Amino acid sequence: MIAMLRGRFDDTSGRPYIEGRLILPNLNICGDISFLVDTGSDVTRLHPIDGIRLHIDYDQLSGDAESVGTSGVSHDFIEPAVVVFSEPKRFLYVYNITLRIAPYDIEILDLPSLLGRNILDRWRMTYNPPKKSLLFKVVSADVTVPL
Amino acid sequence: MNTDTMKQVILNQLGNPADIDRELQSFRKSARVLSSHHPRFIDRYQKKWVAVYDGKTKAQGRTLQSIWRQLDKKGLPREHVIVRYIDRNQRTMIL
Repeated sequence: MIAMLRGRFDDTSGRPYIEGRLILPNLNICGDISFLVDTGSDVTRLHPIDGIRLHIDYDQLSGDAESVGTSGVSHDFIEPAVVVFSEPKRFLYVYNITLRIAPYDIEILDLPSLLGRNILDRWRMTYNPPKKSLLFKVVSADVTVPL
Repeated sequence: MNTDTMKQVILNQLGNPADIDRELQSFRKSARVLSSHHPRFIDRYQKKWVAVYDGKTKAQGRTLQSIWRQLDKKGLPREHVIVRYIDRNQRTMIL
């Protein structure tokens, strides 16, 4: 049987999302994130709306990774992270990544966190908005856990 | 660290896989509710923050601080709640 994850399209904006579990072991933080699927982003990036929801203490963060987007240059924090996606009642797919954490900025509070190519490259995506079908065939994961 | 050790470290960080699966299904349900009911949300919660947990709206307010206060008062786990700002005139996103 093919390993398959299911995403969704937001009805109003049409943006593609997938939900996953984020674990930040060094900060003892764990929570669920609705990631915007962003093939234009090289990396997975946590945005302030999720950071403050998960009680991240921004004063404790370290690292300075420069990133550039349409709005200019940003200096992100860096944190080792584990991201988990579930194929209900079949498997968990687990990815060990270096997470970028965007600095707190009130101007981007409505911006969802991004799932970037450091994970998306390990899947094959079927993107079909008219049929509201967003599927990811899992090619590889760091750990696969049977349920 | 070799691959097997790394896998074991990751597994230790995960917790109970069945719980993760169940909680992620509930979170997905909340995300879908927020998304699929959006036209109604826009009328009811225009220019407000809304929090959905286990498929139900649990908090709404003009500020995020008010959302956190309501969630904490109700003892709801923020880590499993989805929060969105509702606005008829959504900003165009170019990432």
